Amino acid sequence: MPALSQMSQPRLAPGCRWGNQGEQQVVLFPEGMIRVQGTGQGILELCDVKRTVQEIVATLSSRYGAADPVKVTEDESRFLEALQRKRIVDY
Amino acid sequence: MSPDFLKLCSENGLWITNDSKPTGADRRGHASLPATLRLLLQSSAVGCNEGGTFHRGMGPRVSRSESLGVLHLHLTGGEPAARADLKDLIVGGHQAGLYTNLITSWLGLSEARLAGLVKAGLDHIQLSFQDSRDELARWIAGADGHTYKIALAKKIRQFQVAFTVNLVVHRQNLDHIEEMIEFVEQLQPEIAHAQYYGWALRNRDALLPTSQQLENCLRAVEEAQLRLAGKVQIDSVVPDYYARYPKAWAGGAGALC
Repeated sequence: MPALSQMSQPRLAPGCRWGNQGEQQVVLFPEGMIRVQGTGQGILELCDVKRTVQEIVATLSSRYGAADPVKVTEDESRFLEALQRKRIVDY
Repeated sequence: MSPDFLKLCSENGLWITNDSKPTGADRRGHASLPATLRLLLQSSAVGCNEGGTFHRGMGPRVSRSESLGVLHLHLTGGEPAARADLKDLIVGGHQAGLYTNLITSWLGLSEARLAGLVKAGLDHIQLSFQDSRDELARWIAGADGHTYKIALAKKIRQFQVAFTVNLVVHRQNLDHIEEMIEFVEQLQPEIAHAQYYGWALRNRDALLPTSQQLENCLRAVEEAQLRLAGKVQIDSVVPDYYARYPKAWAGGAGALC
């Protein structure tokens, strides 16, 4: 399993794609789906292969002005690592 | 969901029903409701298709997405690749915004045809393997498709499609479950399922795993899950005989009847 670094460029894993259920955003994959909302959705939407983890943190930190970048980095990393273990995100 | 897709399903004997309030009446009228999807390959309608590959009562699979609404289309059977209109069904599902799943033996599915299906919007293809060993696979399947399947599986990464493997396990092959997991690992699927489905009483003596085999298997699966975390996800299904409660078929399809 590759380690997540500041320079990793996360993306949805093969077989995973966006879908929606009414207003609700979901990520669909074989045998299942997850509903995403709030900051989780914010992070995943920025996982476009082009942006690095560092850039995603910077975008989120500026979006949520009062957020501590160190805390944002920690939370984002934990989130992406959990999704990578479930084969929803690759980096 | 588009009217065309519904029409296509209807003409092909596929039912999409809203089962949030089952009434027992014709449920086709409820199809556009954003509720649970249930899609049946209705045996009377498909039995005459493609030389009778689909048989009456063959156990169509039900796709459902709980209370979240219609999200997945499962094309299974039987052998969906035997249908000449498979591509049309995939196009319809894709246009309706559904995640389209094809569960197939791959026999009757050439590389060229697969390319066409992927182009039509197929999201996911699942392939069953009966064993890691050619001879045992041939014996349990009663057909010689193992080598062909491996060859096609190795080409699957050329296509933009999710790939999962269903590994059929039973008393005759569980003693080399580690070897089978390694076999599947080489095929690099997103998800591997290891499951036992031997419903008939007549099958029990030959196919039902012993409790010792089951224990060993669960340990092997657990080790593989740790080792392959983030690479291949492995799901395993405990045979009902050893489960505390029998599982609902396909997540609760029995509730439909």
